[in-house]
Amino acid sequence: MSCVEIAPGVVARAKSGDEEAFHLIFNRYGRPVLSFINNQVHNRELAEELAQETFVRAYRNLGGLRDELRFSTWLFGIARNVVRESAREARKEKMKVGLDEPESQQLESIGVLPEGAMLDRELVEMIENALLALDDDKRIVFSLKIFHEKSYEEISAITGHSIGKLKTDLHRARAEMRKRIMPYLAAQ
Amino acid sequence: MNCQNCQAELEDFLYGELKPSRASQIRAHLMVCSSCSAARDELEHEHEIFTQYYEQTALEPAPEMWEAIRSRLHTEPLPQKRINFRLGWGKFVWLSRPAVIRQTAFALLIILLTATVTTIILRRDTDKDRNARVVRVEPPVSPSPANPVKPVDDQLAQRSVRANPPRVASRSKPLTDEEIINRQIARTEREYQNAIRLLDQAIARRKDELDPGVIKQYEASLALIDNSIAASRRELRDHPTDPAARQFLLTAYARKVDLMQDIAMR
Repeated sequence: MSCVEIAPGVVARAKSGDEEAFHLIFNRYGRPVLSFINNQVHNRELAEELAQETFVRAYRNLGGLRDELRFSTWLFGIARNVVRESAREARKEKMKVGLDEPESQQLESIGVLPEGAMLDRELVEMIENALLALDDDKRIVFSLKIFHEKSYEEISAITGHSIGKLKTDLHRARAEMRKRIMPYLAAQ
Repeated sequence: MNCQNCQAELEDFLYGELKPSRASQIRAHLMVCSSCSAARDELEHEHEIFTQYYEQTALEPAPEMWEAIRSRLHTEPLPQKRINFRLGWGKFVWLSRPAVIRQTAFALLIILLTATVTTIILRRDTDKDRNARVVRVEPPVSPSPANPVKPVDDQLAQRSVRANPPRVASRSKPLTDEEIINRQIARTEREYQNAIRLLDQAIARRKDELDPGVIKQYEASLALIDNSIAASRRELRDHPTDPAARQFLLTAYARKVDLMQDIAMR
C-alpha cells in the first residue's frame, strides 16, 4: 500500500546517470505513482501517459533533488504537477471545443476484480464514486494519506498546502467518504 | 485525557502523526474507555476497507511503460527552456503584443498605487509608534536560557511497535477469522511504518557521523529488504489468505526495523 522508501544509495546512483538504478526506482514507484495519478484523472490511458511523463521529468531533474531520503515526496510532487498541467490543458481544449460537446474524458469502470478480492464490486464502485465526488484538494490529500501513507509534512511538500488545511481537508474527505459508504456497510 | 480530546485526535493517532507522549496518553485512554476504543475500531475498519480498495484497484504499470520511458530518455531533446535560451531574444517577441503592453502598464500602475498607499500608512504608523514610545515605558525583558531540544528517542519507534500489540476490533457484527487476521496485519503494518518513519528521521540526522562503509552496507541491506517487502506485498495481494505471505511481509518489516534500529543506535 504505502511507499516503502527506496535506499538512498539507489537514488544517488540514478542521479549520477545510472539507468539501471533508475529502472529499480521505476520498479519500486511505478505502481504507486500510476495509481496516484489514476485516482486523480480516472482514466487509465491518460494516467499511463502522465506517469510516463512524471518519470521522464524525474530522471531529467534528478540533479536538483537535494535530499535523497525524500525522493518519493519529490516524485509525487512531480506527478502532482504533471496532473495539474494536464488538467489545465484539458480545460483549455474544452473551452476551444465548446461546452456542449460530449465529455472527452470517459469514466472508466473497474474491470473484473482479481481472484481472492475481498471487497465486492458494488463497494469498490461506491468508493470509486465517492472519491470522484470529492473536490481536487480533498481527493489528493485523501489519496496521499490513506493510500500512500504520506505524513502531513510530506503531503504539504507535495501540494504546497499548509498542514492545517490538509488536516481539515482530510477530515472532511473522510466524513464525506463515510457518509457515502456507510449505508452500504450498515446494510451488510 | 477525556473522550472529546481523544476522539478529536484519533485520526492523527492512527496515522502516527502525534508526538510519542501524546500518542501514549491516547493509547492509555483507549485501554480504559470502551466508547473511544469502539470509535477507534470503526476508524480502523474504515481504513482497512480503503486499504483493500487500493490494493484491489491500484494499477500495475505495463512492462512497455518502462521501455517507453527509456526510449524517451534516449531520443527526446532536452527540456525546451534550455534550447530557447540559445535562441536569444526570439522568445520575448510576445512581450511586444499590444494586449501584453496594456496589461503590463495596468499592473505597474497598481503596483505604484499600492506602494504609495503602503508608504503613507507606514509613515503614519511610525509617527504613532514614536509618540507611544514617549509615553509608555516597556518593562525590561530578562533573557531566559533556551530549553535544550531533546533529541527524538529512537527507542520510541521500537516501543510503538512492541508496546501496542494488535488488538481485535469489536463491532456489532462479528468479524470472521480472516477479517480479524487482516485487521491485525494492517494494524501491525501501520505500527511498523510509523516506527520506520521515526527511525528514518533519526538516521538522517546522524548520517554524517556514521562511517561511509557502514552507510553503504546499510543501504545495500535496506534495498534487499525493501525488495523483499515489495515482493511479499505482491504475493499477499495475489493470495490474500495465504498465511505464509502474511508471515513473510511482517518478517521483512521486522528485519527492516531491526536493521534501522541497529544503525540509529550506533
